[in-house]
Amino acid sequence: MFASEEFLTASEKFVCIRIETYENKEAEEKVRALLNGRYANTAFCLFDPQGERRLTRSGRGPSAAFSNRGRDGEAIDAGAVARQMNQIAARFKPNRDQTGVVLQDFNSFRQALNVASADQRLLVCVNVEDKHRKNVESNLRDVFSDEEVGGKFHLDFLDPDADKAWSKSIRGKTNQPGILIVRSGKFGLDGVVMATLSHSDDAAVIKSALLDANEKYSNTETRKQYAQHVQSGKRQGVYFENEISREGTSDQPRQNRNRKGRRGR
Amino acid sequence: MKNSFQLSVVIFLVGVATCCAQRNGRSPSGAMNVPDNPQAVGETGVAWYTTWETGLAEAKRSNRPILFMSAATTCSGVSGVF
Repeated sequence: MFASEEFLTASEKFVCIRIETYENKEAEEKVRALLNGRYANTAFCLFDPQGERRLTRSGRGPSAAFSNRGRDGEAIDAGAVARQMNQIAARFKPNRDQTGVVLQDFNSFRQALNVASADQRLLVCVNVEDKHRKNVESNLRDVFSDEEVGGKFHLDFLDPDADKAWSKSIRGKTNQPGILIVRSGKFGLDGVVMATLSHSDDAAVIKSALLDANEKYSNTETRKQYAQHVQSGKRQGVYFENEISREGTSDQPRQNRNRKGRRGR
Repeated sequence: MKNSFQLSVVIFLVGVATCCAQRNGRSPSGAMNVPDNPQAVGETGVAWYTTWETGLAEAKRSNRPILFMSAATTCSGVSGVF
């Protein structure tokens, strides 16, 4: 449903936030708050622009949130969901001024790689000195507001503390600051730099490089088949450790302490 | 020995199927027909914010409502998959 044209058009009237359920304690608390104390893989809800008032019921997915009255996980009509989303969005008068648009970011480069792999999108990684950041952000606002770019990439700003070891998992030119276009590996544990842009490159140059890279990527990347992906990962001993473990019952997660993952720590 | 191996394979497949079925809201019995990534590679998808803080800041700035989703990017510990 999330890939349907009706849903995508409706989603543009919202600020869409998707967090990783098991990334940290804050995520766990958010999910539990929406599922009456339960902890499960997914949660869904619409909020007002202040993030305080719920505009729909909360549940595992859109079917539980909207008036289709579908049960958790039940397939529902994307058109019906989109129509209800449009009605809800119409209650608010959006600020059309693009000045100061907030850019996407991740809590860590490690999670950015994982999500980019899962979504099968290229990752734009910003590694510039503080003195250049304002100019880079300004250009990226223009680029990511462009309809040819928006929704095709993920964007991460490297954090000096959280991402100290970021380059160890990446092949290619990582020794120079700049804007890197990264292709995440199959399991989101590693990646390769497809192109590096300078902090001084303007929006047109950045856009052109992104679209070129995206074309190469889409011509060489095969859409994932989930069951095969998981089987392959298990055979290879892939294990990605989040702060919160999903072992045991889904309602009783526990903090990771001694779990030994072979990769992706 | 052979039976033991077959049993292990069955248990593994059921585990994978259950995990993926849960995330897709399908019954475990139908889980091995889990579809490909619904988004074509390289095509436009939802423009996600990936932290609550950044998304909330943009929602307040633009006065747009929030579509919030939480999802797991691992299945049985295997990453790179929703």
